[in-house]
Amino acid sequence: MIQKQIPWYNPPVMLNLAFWVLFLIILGGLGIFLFSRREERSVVSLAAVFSALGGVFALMGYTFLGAIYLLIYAGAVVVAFLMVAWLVSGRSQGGRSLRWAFVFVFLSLTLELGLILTYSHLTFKKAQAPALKLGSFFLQNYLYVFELTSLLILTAVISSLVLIRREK
Amino acid sequence: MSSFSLFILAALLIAGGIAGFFLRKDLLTMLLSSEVALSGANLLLLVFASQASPTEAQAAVLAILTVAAAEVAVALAALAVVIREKGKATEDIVSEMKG
Repeated sequence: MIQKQIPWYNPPVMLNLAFWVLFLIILGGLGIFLFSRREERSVVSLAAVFSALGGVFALMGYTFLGAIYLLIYAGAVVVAFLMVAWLVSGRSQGGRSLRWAFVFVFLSLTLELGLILTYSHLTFKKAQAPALKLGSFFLQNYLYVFELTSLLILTAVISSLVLIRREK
Repeated sequence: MSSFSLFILAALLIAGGIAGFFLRKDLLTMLLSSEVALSGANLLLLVFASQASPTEAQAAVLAILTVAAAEVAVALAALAVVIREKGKATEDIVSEMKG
């Protein structure tokens, strides 16, 4: 249906093209991460790496996992790392260029999440919905593992609060 | 997007993570490097399992992701404590610490 509307639309070629663009982003991000001397720059470059990896997951057909990767890794984990990087460097907001890089990464994350959701919507088949299949798989086969991971998160939150607390 | 190119990508991520872990001296970057290597391992798991059982692989990656997020929360808190006590967090400072 889409192919009729857009004559140049060729899914395999476009998927390949998207993959190689993401591959280059990952390669560049890894290079900056390894050779940059500033921690903040390393963290921001890794935001690009993780978000591109989320895109690769989506291209492989794991759209739900890609979105989760983007939200948890490129969103939450990288932001937590950035806070600690600022704490290490002693700067409150990093440099001006870094602020722009952060805005750029945030905008590209939003754009990529939108692209993943659109791709997921276009290729959606109710019988093969990834989140539905994954949810039923967890609840039917690995309920205890699922509950244990939630317990693990709770323990991690409490232990990190205990660790960071100042003793009077 | 062949399996081979995905293997190459996973290998690059794992190699980059290991290289970062051994080349850098600050703990924050070492921790980040381990996350990069873990991402490569996740990708490898998905590539291997995509033919056999994709749902199980997704479930495994989701569980790994949860454990990694929990590990990051605790490790960052520990790192913040080291920075507060010592002023910086490098490999040498942690080697000096005794229990």
